[in-house]
Amino acid sequence: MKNVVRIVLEGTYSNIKRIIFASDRVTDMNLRSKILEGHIVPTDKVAEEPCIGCAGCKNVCPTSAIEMVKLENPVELMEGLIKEQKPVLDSLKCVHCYYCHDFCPLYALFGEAGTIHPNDVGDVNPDIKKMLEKPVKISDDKLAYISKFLSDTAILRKREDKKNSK
Amino acid sequence: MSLKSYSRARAVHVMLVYTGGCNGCDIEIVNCIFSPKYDAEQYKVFLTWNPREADVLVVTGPVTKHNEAPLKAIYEAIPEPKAVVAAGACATMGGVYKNIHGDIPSEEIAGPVDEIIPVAAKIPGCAVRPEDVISGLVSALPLLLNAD
Repeated sequence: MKNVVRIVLEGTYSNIKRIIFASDRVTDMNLRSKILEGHIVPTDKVAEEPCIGCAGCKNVCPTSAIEMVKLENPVELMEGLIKEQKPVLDSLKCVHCYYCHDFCPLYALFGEAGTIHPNDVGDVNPDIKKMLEKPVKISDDKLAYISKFLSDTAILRKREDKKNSK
Repeated sequence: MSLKSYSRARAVHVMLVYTGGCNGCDIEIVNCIFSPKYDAEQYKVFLTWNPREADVLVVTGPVTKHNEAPLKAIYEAIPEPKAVVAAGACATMGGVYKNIHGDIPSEEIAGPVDEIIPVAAKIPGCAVRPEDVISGLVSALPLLLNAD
């Protein structure tokens, strides 16, 4: 009986605190004001600075959600390698299979974070110049596997046949 | 502002319908409404399971053949004004269930949602972000309140 009374009193006390002083509230007030003023923006899907513009993600995308857009000012990454385009991801077509991230050369070859991600790229700041000049050892099996996907013209041809037949 | 809108603004009811996805988006949406961090109840948005009580229908998952008729029945049971929100990659365009491979559409899926019932808003993501869901909800409230 004593315990029941104690539980009732403790519950009443904490509920009164909640009602009057809004205690136990853990809503982020910053987030709340952002929501009510409509300042929530979608996360970045592409890190435009470190991307090398190889169009691998576009070729590998099963639903063709990625389009390559020409850059206004092409950037020279190193001798003989000029970046002329960047990917743009359409979230309404994306099925989140993560192929684009997994076959991004920065991830597949160098083991860094990929420069495109369907949810959120986050902070990707690898030193591209250093990375490209450093010799890399890749096993032949892995190279064959990656190149099969990145340059699989069968899929591209199938798509063109579809377009022509319509 | 009529009496109907005044009372509706103080109790917006959301009904959640699952049509055969992986349940990830359902968890995120229930989390936006009930969890102490996001807590959509502070904006007077509540969750209900009764279509006659609901104002907003949130649909998750690609619509399977089995779920097509029940979804239509639920949509017709909701009184006007109503808004339908398709949440997640599956509800917006079929997701991994319909697009098993880009060239081979799956035969068990009748969806996506906008082929069956008219959709007012689409939320991309896999799974959807709670911030996106709540900001979408708050921005859709004027649609309901200015209806009459």
